[in-house]
Amino acid sequence: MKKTSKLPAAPRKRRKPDSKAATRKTRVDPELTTSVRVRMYRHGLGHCTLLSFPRLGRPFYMLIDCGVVLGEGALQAMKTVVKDIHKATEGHLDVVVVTHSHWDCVSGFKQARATFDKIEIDQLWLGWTEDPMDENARRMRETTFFRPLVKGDGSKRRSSSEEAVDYLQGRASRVRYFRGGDGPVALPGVAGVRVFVLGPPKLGADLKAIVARNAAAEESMACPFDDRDQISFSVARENPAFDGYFSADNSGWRRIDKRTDRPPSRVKLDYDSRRNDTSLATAIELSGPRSVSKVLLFPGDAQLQSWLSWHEYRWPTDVGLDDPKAVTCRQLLERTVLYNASHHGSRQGTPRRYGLEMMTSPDLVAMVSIDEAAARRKMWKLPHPGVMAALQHKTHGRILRSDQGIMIPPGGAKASSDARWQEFEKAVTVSALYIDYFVEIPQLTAQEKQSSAKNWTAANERRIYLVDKKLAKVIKPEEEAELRELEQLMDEYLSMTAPTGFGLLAELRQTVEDTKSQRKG
Amino acid sequence: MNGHSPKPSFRRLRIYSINPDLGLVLGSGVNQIAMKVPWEDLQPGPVGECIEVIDIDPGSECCYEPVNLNACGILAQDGLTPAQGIPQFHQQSVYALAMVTIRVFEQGLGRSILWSPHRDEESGETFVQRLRIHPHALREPNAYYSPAKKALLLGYYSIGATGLMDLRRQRTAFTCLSHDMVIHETSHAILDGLCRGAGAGDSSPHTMATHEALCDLAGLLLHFSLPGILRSQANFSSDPQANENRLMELARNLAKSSGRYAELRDCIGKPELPVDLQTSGMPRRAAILVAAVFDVFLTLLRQRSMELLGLTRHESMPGEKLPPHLIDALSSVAAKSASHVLRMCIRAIDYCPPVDVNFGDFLRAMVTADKDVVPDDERNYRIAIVESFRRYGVYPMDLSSLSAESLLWRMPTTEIAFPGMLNWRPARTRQEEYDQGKKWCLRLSQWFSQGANKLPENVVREMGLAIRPHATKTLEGGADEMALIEVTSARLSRKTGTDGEQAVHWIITVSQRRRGYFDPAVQAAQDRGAERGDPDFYFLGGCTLLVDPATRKAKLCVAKDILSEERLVRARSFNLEFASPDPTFRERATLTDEEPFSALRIDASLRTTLDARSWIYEEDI
Repeated sequence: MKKTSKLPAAPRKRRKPDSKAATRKTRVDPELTTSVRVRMYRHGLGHCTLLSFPRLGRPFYMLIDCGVVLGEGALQAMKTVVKDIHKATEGHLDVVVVTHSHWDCVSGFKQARATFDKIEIDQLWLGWTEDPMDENARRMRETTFFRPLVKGDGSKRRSSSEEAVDYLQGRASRVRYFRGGDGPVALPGVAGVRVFVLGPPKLGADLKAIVARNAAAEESMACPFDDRDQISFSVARENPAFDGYFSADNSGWRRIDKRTDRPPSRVKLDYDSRRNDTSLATAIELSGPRSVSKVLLFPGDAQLQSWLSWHEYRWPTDVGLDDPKAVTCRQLLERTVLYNASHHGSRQGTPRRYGLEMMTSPDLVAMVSIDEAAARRKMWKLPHPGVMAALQHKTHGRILRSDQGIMIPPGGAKASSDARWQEFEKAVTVSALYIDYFVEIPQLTAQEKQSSAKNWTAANERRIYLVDKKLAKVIKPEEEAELRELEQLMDEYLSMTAPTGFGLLAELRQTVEDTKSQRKG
Repeated sequence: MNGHSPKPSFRRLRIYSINPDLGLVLGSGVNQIAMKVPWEDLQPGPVGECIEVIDIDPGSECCYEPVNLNACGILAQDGLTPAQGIPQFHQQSVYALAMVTIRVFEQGLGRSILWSPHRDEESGETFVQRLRIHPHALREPNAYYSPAKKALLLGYYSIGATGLMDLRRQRTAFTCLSHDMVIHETSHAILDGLCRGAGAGDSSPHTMATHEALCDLAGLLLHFSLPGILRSQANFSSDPQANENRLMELARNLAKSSGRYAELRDCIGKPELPVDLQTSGMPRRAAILVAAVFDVFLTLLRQRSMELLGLTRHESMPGEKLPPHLIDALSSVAAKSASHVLRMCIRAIDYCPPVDVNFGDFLRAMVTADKDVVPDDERNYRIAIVESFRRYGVYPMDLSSLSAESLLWRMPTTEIAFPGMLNWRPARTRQEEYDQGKKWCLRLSQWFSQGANKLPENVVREMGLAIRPHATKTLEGGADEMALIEVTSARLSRKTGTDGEQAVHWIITVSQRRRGYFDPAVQAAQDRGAERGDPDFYFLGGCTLLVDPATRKAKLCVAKDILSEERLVRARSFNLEFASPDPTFRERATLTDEEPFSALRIDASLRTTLDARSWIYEEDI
């Protein structure tokens, strides 16, 4: 699949070396004024996606994961990818999202550390399960189902993946920990984009139930024998029959009664694969009014249990100006136009009923980061044929695979003359290193603009009225509270629904030039 | 008094003939058998010479009173009456089953069982007198041997909430009442003791599968060989084919209870299913070996039962019941065949290479071991073995012809003679035996390291070892830049055949470690002697030597070459996979260094604990 798009290639390719400094300042990729660019790297079996959101000045760069599973040539590919990230972002990442600390998501931060050292990182987003200060996360790590790696000398060892996260935590100016139901989070300076946090599940309600659901059942289980048969530990300690167990000086290593002695339960052992369920899953909403907003879904490696928990949240209303209802996961899924398939398209990653079937947007496109050949060599059934077939059906074949580009449908390519398909092809750029997919940010229709402007004007008038009262010092306390909330909401509204800065600038420029030419004329 | 009260040789203990929790249909209504367990002085627990049952239930935060099997009332009536609600009966049951397992292994191996020693940073290796058995250690449908604690941890769990079984109310199921589970885990403990040293670090997929299959076989065949089990369950008829089908059905049912249902069901009695031994998952591979050996059992049984049926010339109508004495005879012949086949498998353990045991090796080991104790294969058992294995696609890759003769391990081409340092005297206790074995290991290791340079190159290579300076530089060294050759075990074994033939050997395992690297280029550089880099994994090689105590010459040398490039490539790809960060990718998902066996049954537990939510999981894509 060569370039199918008529869109201009990435600007750095066209840029002349001598005009570098000049272009850097004013560099505006025309696509980037109205679209979000999703760049999936083609470096093998691993996750690495770079998102660029339009913003006044330089675009806003968000990197979601950066890793590859060990394999031939992986190291070199990873280094090339990070170099490209450095180049594309001009050495400045606004947000780095680490979905979970598995090697295929974080290896790049170790393998290409030299390059990352040169990249400025503003924010690091992690799931709350990575929070060293979180009491629950810490307790889970130490007791129930996180299995700390223990070194020969008994001290706890951080795994390579965890070390990569440690590195990032040291590098980022700000580290934020999220849990399911958080948000929506605005991106600084980016209008019309909000991030809804779907996972990792919260502790009490979900994760405990999910990861340790068996353990919970164990806890609640009654002793299987009659009360008369039970001997409490304190009594047993005095009983000579248990001397061999309780009082032997040197056989403490064989004890199983204390919690720390207890052998890791199945649940705990199972945890490492459950770590996928602690993925920081996000839905990025490109808003316009509700009905036309688009969602980019990045579930990390979330598996069914995590997906199920998403449906238990409601996000607060956005501005309160146009829709009183809270946002639900179903709404987000319904509006999903780009689904970054969880866990390399594995069977566990994409549930049908509570996931894929709810993605009903006719514009749905799927992205799968996969290296099928490498996976096959390792006997991993990735991507799962069933999942791929379902995706194929849902997206009408619009699947981007990191190993194939635009996915070659089984049974050879079908030449589609469908308008949607052409539109899709137009939005895709495939190069050897990455696949770019451009998602247009929905713009308001004239009618919607009008109605929101009406709302806006009314609200603004009220605000001015209240400010006047405040200045005159005749404002009532309840009015003052109203004013405070109004200003806060308007601030938020502005940051979300106002036309992009680029549009404003362009309009302004046009007006100035028009005026000039009129005068000349 | 002495004359009037001789020391008994057996203690009779009752156990369930099949775990009542399983809800399996019984052939007859009686669900208990009395087993003969070798007599030993017992403390309450029961705590015997080599196992101790300690009933700690951390989940309920309590202990249960240990049973005193010497109590008059218990002794007089073959132990406690089987009952699920009495923890003391559970203790009795696990004790009896573990003891029987140990006895079978001791008979097959021709020596006493020693548990793997406890390793400690401070005190090094210390002897472990008793294996601990905790019948109620876990609240999950799991049971495993913990090498770290030298203990069997058996679980209990509630069933009824699963919706899988037709039960009116929730109740508790105990893994400690399942024969095959207890036997399986005890076997793991025994194998861990046998394979200390090199074996402990040997995590090659083939070795794992072979161990797993051996433990499965012990569980299956030992269960069948318990007196009265087949009598009550097999419903023997005059039709040999029907008998075989019935036995296969029983085996599959047992497999179901241990959670290996899918694999074993697909394999037992179905040789026509092609299975790629290189690519299939571990449980699947293990199931193939189980199925092949089970087929040997069926062949033996067919032979023997035909004789019996022919002898009685019993011609019955289809559906007509056989006379009871004939059923008894058939059951006893079946039980004997099961125990015979199991013993052949156990004997083979000593004839396997110390590392990287694959199924082809196991087949050759089985044939050779049988040849040693039964030189004259009158009943064509060895041919039966080869045939069954061939049917299931298990044979050594490097042999062109498959006959019992060509499968025998070859005599060493060079003479490997040992100095007269192995002075054997009978040990009175297991501790003494352990100390003796350790002393020998030490002496032999010294002999190797001192004499390695004097040993001719071809002798060293014959043993799959390599010595510097000619060999690669990645061999882990001992003092003064010598490649370290470690003798990991040295025991005297006396195996007895059915005809009273005895095979007495020193069983000596020797191993070497080599640093392995994921990158072949790095490996090549390191092999040439580049500056030492931390290895990505360790690659093991070495040999098992069977030494004739009379001549002190090696009769047999089964080696895995430390310099073999082909093996190194395989070990690399396996370790690469294992190094994969995301265990859901891995075959050995969730296996940990601490509790390597706990995960082997995870499939089982997952299957039995499916709840409503998991059903969605199952239905989902």
